Amino acid sequence: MVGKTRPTPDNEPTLIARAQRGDLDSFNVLIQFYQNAAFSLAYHILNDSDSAADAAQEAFINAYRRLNGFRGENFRAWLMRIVANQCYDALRRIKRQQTISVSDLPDAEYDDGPALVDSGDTPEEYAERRQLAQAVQDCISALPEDQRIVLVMSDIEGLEYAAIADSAQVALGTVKSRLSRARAAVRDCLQGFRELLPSAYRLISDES
Amino acid sequence: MNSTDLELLSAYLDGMLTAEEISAVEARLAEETALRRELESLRATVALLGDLPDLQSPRDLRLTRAMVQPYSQRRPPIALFSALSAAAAFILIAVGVIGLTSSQLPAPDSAQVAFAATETPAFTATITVDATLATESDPAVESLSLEIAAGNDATDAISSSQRAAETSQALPMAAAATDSALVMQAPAEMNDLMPELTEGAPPAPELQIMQAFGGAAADSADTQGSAALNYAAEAEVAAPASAPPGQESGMAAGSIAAMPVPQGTMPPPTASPMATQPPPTRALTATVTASATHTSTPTDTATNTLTPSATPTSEPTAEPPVMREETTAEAPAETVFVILIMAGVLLLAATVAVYLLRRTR
Repeated sequence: MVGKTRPTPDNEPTLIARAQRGDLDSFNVLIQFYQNAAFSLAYHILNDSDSAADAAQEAFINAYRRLNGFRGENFRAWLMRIVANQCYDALRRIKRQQTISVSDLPDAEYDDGPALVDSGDTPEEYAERRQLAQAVQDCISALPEDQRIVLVMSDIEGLEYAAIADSAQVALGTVKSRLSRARAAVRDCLQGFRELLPSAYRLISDES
Repeated sequence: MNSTDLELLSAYLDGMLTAEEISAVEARLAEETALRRELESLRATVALLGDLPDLQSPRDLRLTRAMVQPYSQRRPPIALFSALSAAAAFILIAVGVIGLTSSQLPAPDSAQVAFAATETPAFTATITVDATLATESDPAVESLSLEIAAGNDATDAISSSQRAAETSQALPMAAAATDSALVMQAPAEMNDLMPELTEGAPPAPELQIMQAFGGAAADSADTQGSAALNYAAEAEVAAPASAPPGQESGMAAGSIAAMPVPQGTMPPPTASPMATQPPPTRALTATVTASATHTSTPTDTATNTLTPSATPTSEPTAEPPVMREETTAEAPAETVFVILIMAGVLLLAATVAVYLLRRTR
């Protein structure tokens, strides 16, 4: 199963119910909890910090407005689909403008990318993790757009096929094939960063 | 690794295969090392992606109240608002100007006249004039007189002149007025001559309103009151005089009784200003001329003249005894129009100011 168990705020149902009654403060508590995840998803897809933050922000606004349409399913999944949809819009906008290609963005203003959320590791560990994250990001952003979105939604965010198919407006079989090709491509891409990979991954890759 | 196998393995990892497909894949995995290796590399990749730490959002994404306002509230359509407001202002001004203009100009066709003939020999004309329109016009009376003339029957009028006169005494003939309508009942006994009815008697409440306005209000109010009474008085005088059927058959007696005055002091007929008017033909001709104005606006004079006369020369309207009388609601109407214009101008100015302020912000 793709889905991972993700932490949720303790009082998430209460916060959602209050937000549905127009309590913006309660919704902001939810945003505080999910904003890094939303930004990450958008960044993996858009590969640009500003665009990703804008998309995530817009997604939260849309989510707040549509909150009464939330019927108690997985809130995180519901939210992330909205983020993904916002990213689709952003990609379309970027394509229309034709001023920049998504993959060109890091070159235009290259930095180390967004910081990782603090997980209490040592500076060395953090640097390693960050390098790995950047490597993965590079491989993801090298993917064709349609594959990239499916991969990010499935393997990074943990959404199910059906939700992805619905969000991408494609058939379930299309999700399946795009995902398999994206996984294989990322795997092959990551061979170039072997020294960064966890030992377990290295062992497996060495066999091939 | 062909794409079919890749898809199978990928879906296998996700548990998205049917039971049959799972069996088939697992059977192959037990035999094919390359397939097994492929599966493990994919599994590791998926695990790696799933373990990626979240990235730190470069900015706080919490929402402010302004962000979640509906678009219409977030950016009020100031242009639309201004347009509506300006339109309202122009309507106010237009109504005011038109109202003011037409209240100072004759509007002959604007009076609505309803005519009703009673069963009695005396004709009772019920004239309903819209108050605002009534104030506007003196020529309007021409249409009134036409209406009344329609009911004439010469012979009947002559033979019943006495009864008519009595009726004119007995009947409570009143100018009953509402806020917007002036109703005048004028029992008119007629010969083949047409009485000219040129004015409605003013209603009492509006007399008082009139008193509140206008510089010469007090005078005209007094005049009005006595004038109204004079109508009745003269009618009394006229009626017996017209009683002999044969007498001056070409003439008819007309009378108007108006009861607009609360204080019912009945002046003697001779006290009437009209008494000073040279009567064309003795008492048979009841000339009732009531003109009401703002003394400042003579053009607004409306003359109510019930003039039965045998000869054209007897028409008193040539030199009416000018009894100025405030017709209904004239001054308030003008004031209202002026207020409308001022309100419109103010609204327009406010609209422009608000629009400019919003634009510059």
